[in-house]
Amino acid sequence: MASTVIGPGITIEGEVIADDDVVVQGTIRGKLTSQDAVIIEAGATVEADVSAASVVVSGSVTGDVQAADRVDLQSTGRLVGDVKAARLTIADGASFKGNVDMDV
Amino acid sequence: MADSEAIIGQGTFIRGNLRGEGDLCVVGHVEGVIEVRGQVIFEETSIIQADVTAERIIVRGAIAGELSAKESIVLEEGCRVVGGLRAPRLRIEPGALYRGRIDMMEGGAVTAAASAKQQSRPAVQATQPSAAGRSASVVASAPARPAPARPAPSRTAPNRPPARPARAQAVQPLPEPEVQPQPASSVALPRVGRIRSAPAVTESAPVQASDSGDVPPPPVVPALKKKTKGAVRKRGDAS
Amino acid sequence: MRKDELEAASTLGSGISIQGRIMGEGNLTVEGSVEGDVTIQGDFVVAAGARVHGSVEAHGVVVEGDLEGDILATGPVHAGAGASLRGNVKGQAFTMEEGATVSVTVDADFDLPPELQGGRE
Repeated sequence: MASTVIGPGITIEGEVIADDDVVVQGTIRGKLTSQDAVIIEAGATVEADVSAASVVVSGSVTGDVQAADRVDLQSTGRLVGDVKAARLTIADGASFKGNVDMDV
Repeated sequence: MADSEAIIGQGTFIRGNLRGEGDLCVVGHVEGVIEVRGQVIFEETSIIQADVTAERIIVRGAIAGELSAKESIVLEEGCRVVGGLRAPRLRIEPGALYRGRIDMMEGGAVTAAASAKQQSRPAVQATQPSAAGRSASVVASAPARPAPARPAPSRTAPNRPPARPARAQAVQPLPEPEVQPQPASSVALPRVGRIRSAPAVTESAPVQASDSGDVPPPPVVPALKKKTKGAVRKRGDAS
Repeated sequence: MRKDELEAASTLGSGISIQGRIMGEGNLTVEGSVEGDVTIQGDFVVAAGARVHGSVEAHGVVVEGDLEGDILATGPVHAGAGASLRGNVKGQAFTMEEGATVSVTVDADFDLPPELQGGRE
């Protein structure tokens, strides 16, 4: 299946449900769900709860993030919300405020 | 060119109803209603203020009116069409300009009533205010399929179509090729008719002679007149 | 503006389903399903197999899949052979391939020749 790229100029307000990878370069407000990976690139803005197999955050996320596998918060990433994942990495320089639950 | 085609020439203006069997090619100006049981092509210079019903419609000119086809409608590059389109198959090519409502249901039902009317209706003339010296005789008598009516005014006296009377159902002598000063109503298209220039010779000439036994009118195939009889004999001998 | 924003092209893959509005710059191709209005400055493509239900505002619009909703385009609107299109279409010009199924009312800005300008519809 073709993957999804939400380009930098695009804003989606609502619910996004994906079967496979989603790369976010733009803005999502609402809810984001993927069966596969969610990659939030630098410059992207996600004001939504995110649920996926794995989540990589290099941009800005305001909302709860839930991953079946792992959540990686990169150095340019900013996350405000609760994280629930089996594995979590927070890189040096990242910004994070919220609760972490690794008891999956 | 199609086997049986009527042409509305470029200098021709028709105000009225055009009905016919066979194909129609419009290069001139028509105002009214067009109902044809074949294909209609509106060429680049055509200007049409009419509702059109046909099997197939191809537009290269300008039309204001409803287009309804039993088979297909094609709007080609350069055309300008304002009005509804109704056909099961439809194509609007890049360069075509269109405005209106599109319905992809089957259209173009030329009713039985219309064709019955056609049979009994004598040739009626349309007005043509701007016919530049050309006869706007979309004249026809016979709606009959095989009647190769030749309304070419340049031909000599007998204006009778070289019809095959055996098959023609309502063959009527053609009126004078001049414009009839009647109010515009319905114009039945000849099965084959060239409005402008000299018609070409067809192979129907020998057949007519054998069928009817009448002397084929000279104007159609003057050169073949004598030979025609010879041809008939040969046919009869099946040689 | 970032360099990649100049040629921004977004794709909503076939596995994606969106319920909500989409807005922005750049071009957008939908291969999945969108239920909601789309307002973008670039070109909008509904790919074969895709389904969009909502109004669309864009520059050019190409429909190869299903689109139900009104289209307001500043550029050309085209329905490809496999398209299913329903709604009001306003654009520079509307074209369609044979095989497309459309039920539309088209509005495009052009003039008929003077002999036919009895009253613009």
